[in-house]
Amino acid sequence: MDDEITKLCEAIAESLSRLHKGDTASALWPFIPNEAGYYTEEPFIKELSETINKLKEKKYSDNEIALLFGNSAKIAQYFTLFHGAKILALQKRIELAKDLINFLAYYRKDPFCQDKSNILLADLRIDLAKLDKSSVSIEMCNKFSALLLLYLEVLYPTMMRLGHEFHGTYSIRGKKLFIKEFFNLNPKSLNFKEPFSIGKIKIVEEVESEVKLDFFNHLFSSPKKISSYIETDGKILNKEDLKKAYEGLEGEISSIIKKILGFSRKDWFRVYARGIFQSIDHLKVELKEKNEVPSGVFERIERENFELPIKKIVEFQKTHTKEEIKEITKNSYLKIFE
Amino acid sequence: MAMKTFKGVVANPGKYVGRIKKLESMDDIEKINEKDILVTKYNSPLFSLAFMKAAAIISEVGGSLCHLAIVSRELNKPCILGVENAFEIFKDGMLVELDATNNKIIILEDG
Repeated sequence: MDDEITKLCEAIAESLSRLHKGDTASALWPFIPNEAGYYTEEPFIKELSETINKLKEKKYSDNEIALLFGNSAKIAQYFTLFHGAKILALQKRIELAKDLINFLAYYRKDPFCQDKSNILLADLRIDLAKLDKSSVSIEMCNKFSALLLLYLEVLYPTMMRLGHEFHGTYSIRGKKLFIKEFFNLNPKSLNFKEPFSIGKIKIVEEVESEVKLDFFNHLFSSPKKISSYIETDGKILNKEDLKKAYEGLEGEISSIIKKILGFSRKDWFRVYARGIFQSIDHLKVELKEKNEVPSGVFERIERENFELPIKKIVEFQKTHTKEEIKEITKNSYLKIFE
Repeated sequence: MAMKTFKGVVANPGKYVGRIKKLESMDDIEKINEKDILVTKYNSPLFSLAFMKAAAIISEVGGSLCHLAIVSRELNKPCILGVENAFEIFKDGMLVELDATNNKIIILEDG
């Protein structure tokens, strides 16, 4: 087995075993990703592979294609759908995985986040004076960040990395910095949604110690914060701006929640499918192609009733150690490439 | 009399003593105040939104990387998840010590 592919499977297994250890299957809202994946994984992976290949045929370089994805957490997230790659011939699966690893490497110092950090290679341009001058409290920054995660949970159920990426920890002039970026805050996947007035949000935090995260950008440590500032669409927020943004977002979430409380599982599967396919909008625009969920996906959602045996999964999670779950997950991913 | 203690999966450490408020529907969000310990049976953005208001949380479901856990760390509020039958055990108004540093929930007063 190729060394990169082995590292990839190891990174995926490490992340998913931490996620799955504990009673997590029954806690996932509004469904277990594999349930929606049943309808979406294969057609999406096929579309992704074909789209990348068309761009390559048009002589786009790896870096140019990577740039069209917009961020690395989204690229990593595609590997959660990779059991759908079995629809491709073995050589094509390996090719797609290697392409995605190359795209990750365009953004990340280590595509697999093996040292539990996510160091991005982009120019940071952090003005440390902004931390000292920030008028917003750490408590308010934390609340805003939590609210944004909540917002993304509603916009991108179980695929939140389509709307955010956490990166760091960076050491800059003796300070440890961790950065939370939120984007794609106005997707079309919830088609009743009014546009939210903010496009991009960046939260810069000075932290006491290293923040730990994994390949899929799950945070699993939360060190004490020393100071922080928030930038929305390039503007630094003061106390009043933040209060206004917080209240606006809170109102937005309440209104969305009222609307989605009546959603059926099938409604959610449709939202999920639209979200996944829209995540490659920029690539399709470049090819001057329409980007639509294949109608077969919606037809299957309508026709079939796929459900995972949640009780059995929870029992499995309870009776297996993290190491055992990791080994099983790793082997199931390795099998995709055999 | 021996005090009843319960445990689950610690999502964020911290210790807090407060009264229980159970959350079942969107209408209950109005009832939550900042001193309450929220108890939920499921995980959804509805509960996360309520958690923004409360002081601490106990949930029947969830592991250390589920959404409620991540939100609890962002807010730095004590949080224990995966507490079996929590929704049945804890009643509105009960006084509870939630010690998420030592993974212990103690009922101090029946309420």
